[in-house]
Amino acid sequence: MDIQTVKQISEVAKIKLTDEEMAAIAEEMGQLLDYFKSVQEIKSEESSKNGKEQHSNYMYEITNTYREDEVFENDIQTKEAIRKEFTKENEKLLLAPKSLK
Amino acid sequence: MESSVEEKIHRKLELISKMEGEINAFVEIYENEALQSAKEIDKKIKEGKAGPLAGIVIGIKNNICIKGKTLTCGSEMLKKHHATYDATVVEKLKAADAIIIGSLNMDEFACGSDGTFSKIKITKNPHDLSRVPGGSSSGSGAAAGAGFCDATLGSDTGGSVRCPAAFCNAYGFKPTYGMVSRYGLSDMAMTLDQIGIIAKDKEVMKKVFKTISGTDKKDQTTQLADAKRIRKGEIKTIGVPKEFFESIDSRIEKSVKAKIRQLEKRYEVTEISIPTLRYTVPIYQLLMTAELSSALQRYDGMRYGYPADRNEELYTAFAKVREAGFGKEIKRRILIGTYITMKEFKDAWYTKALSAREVMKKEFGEVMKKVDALAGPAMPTGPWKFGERMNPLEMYAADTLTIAANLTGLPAIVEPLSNSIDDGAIQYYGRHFEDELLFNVE
Repeated sequence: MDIQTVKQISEVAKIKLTDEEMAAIAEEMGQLLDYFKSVQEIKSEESSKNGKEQHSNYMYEITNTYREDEVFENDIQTKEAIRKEFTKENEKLLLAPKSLK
Repeated sequence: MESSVEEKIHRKLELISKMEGEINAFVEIYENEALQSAKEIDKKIKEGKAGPLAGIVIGIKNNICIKGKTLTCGSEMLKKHHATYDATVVEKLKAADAIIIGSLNMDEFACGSDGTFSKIKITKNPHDLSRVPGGSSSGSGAAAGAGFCDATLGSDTGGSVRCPAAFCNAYGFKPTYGMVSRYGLSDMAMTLDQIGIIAKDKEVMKKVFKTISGTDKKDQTTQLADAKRIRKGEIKTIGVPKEFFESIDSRIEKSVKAKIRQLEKRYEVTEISIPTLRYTVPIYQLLMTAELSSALQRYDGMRYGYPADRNEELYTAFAKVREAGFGKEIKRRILIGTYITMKEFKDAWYTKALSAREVMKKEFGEVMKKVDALAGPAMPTGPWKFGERMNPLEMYAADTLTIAANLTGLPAIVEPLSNSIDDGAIQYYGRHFEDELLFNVE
């Protein structure tokens, strides 16, 4: 795999790679994908709906379910526990880096 | 007089203090809580109010939330993170009066087949400290195998419960997809993950399964669990896919085939063929990496985990956290998963893998109409020595016999064939929701 593509992918994946890492991963990905491409040999089923092949991630029928949003309040200890995990806090608010220059 | 639960916990803690220094199964041991719970449970037992798992000692893989406890997921990213709620399975275990004695080590974000990808510590096989315990639920396998716990919970996406069970000489069980709630389990691949159980005693495993399984509103993929689970009935016919015996260690092949000859006395055993089994590893790798890369997008250093530098610009802040917080294997898998789902490349890769899964689904569907269960070896080899398997492809090939149960959602159980980890384990696959029937195959 070429390094330019790896750079492109790492930007989509939001992982900052060093030049050495990119070179190593480019080679590894090439080898792995070479092995995985045997999947393309498998003849897929004729099943189609509107001419498009149907895929289900599940082996049996499950239905996507909906529910009403119910607001409930967590106890103070749980709220504090959640805030304690914030990596940067300011007066009970989560601090974010600047997104505008 | 029967010994009390408190005495039992003292004995377990003593065993742990003797051997854990070498085995390294635990991330954290909840010594005080376990003793405290034990006292309370002893009281409940006297009053006749104790739950069905009273006194059962359980260890929990460190990607399953226990309120207030560190949830490292074996990673640098979450090394200091504490769960703020209990997973459904943990709630159920606590309500049944099980004693949770600690959190168990694992490969980083459940990616690995031997435990060596953990960023916390390296767990060793209790039967041979120079060899791997299996992964990714390395601590779960080791703790059950060493007798630290009566049962351990792990997560199984491509064999991560069954592999360490087989390597550590214990039973390992992956339920039907949707039988056990994943609420509170850190996602790896959402259409493949299932919480599983490792235990040396199958009766304990059955009890734990009864407790943790069932429909949970918080995980809608369990919507059919209560309605469809099958408790009565019998497995009478067993199919042995010939593809399960390709590239197997000869000693394991011998012991599994000997066991199958014994099965022939009580079951109708036939040789069958499932052609897509030859492609399980690539199908799995493509689907799993696609789902994993999506599941790990949430780690951006903001709400929890490895901290983002607030002086950096937004994108750079995220990218630096993910560079530092993820190990090499995770990065590799995220990049592959990202690549194969990108618009330009999706059709050649991800869509093809989805189609392949459909073909596998159809083949298994046809086969399971003719037989009640499948049998074959659990793992192609015994546990290797540390340092022996460094190549990713070699590592991925270890999953070849276990993966199909995750791709199809079928339940699967592994049973050690002797006291030696080199004789391997046999594996049975059952039909969806026939988990309880699968426990009865002997």
